[in-house]
Amino acid sequence: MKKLAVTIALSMIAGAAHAGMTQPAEVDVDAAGGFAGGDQVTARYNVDPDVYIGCGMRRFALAGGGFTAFGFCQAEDADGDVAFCNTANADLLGAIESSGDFGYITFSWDVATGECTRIGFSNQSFYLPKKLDRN
Amino acid sequence: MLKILAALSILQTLAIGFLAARAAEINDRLALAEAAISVAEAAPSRAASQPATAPANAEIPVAANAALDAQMLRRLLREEFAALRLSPQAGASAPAPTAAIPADPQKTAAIRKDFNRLLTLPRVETRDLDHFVELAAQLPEAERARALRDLSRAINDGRIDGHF
Repeated sequence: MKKLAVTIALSMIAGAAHAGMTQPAEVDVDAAGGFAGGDQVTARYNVDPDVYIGCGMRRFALAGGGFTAFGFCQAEDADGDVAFCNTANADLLGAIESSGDFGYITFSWDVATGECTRIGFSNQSFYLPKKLDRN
Repeated sequence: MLKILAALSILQTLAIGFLAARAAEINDRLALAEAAISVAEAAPSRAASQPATAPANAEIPVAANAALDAQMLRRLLREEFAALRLSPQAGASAPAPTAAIPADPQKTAAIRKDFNRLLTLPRVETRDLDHFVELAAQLPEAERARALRDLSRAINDGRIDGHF
């Protein structure tokens, strides 16, 4: 019986070893060049608690009718370099809305104005966490 | 140990065989479904060329049902696509509508004051940033852009330590 248990355990370990490609992308911020990139899972589980990356949006209903939207991307890397940009550009807001849960995020901004000039997402299996779990 | 491994190997082979049989069965079903769809697509033109009193045969009820299913599917797809077009999520690529807001010196002063307040905080909380952008949203477009530009630059150069 013990042998059987050991055999099954070994089989499971062998299965886990073949878990597909992974490609962690550490958050990297080039503040002078106005560029940031990295994947969310690697940022979330970084040993440095200050590291993060993400994009988001706020929509505001206006008193006179209509609405306005404010989109942003932000990141901080392990060196402490911070990136932040904002956008009201409809296409870039659309890019933010198409973001995935665990993907790679990359964005650029105009250093003089802080306005986002490029927002990109890449949702790939190799960015998924080893095991989906709760915080 | 070897006996157990041999037994596991046999079980694995049987499982593979079973899965292969299932795959072949699914393949056959797919082929049948494709054939049914072809019949369904051909049915409307054929029905139009036939008189209403055409004698019934075994194929007509099947084709009619398939045609009905195809029509229903098309209608459902049209409805889904229409809903997607109307959805705010799907309309993201359209220009964000903004109403013209008249200049208000009080609001301009309020956001300037709030920005200066953020500069004095050692650590800015998300709710503080949200308050700031909410004030910015009430400004005319040019002033709003200026306020957000000031915020972005202050975060990037470290004068404001915080994130959304």
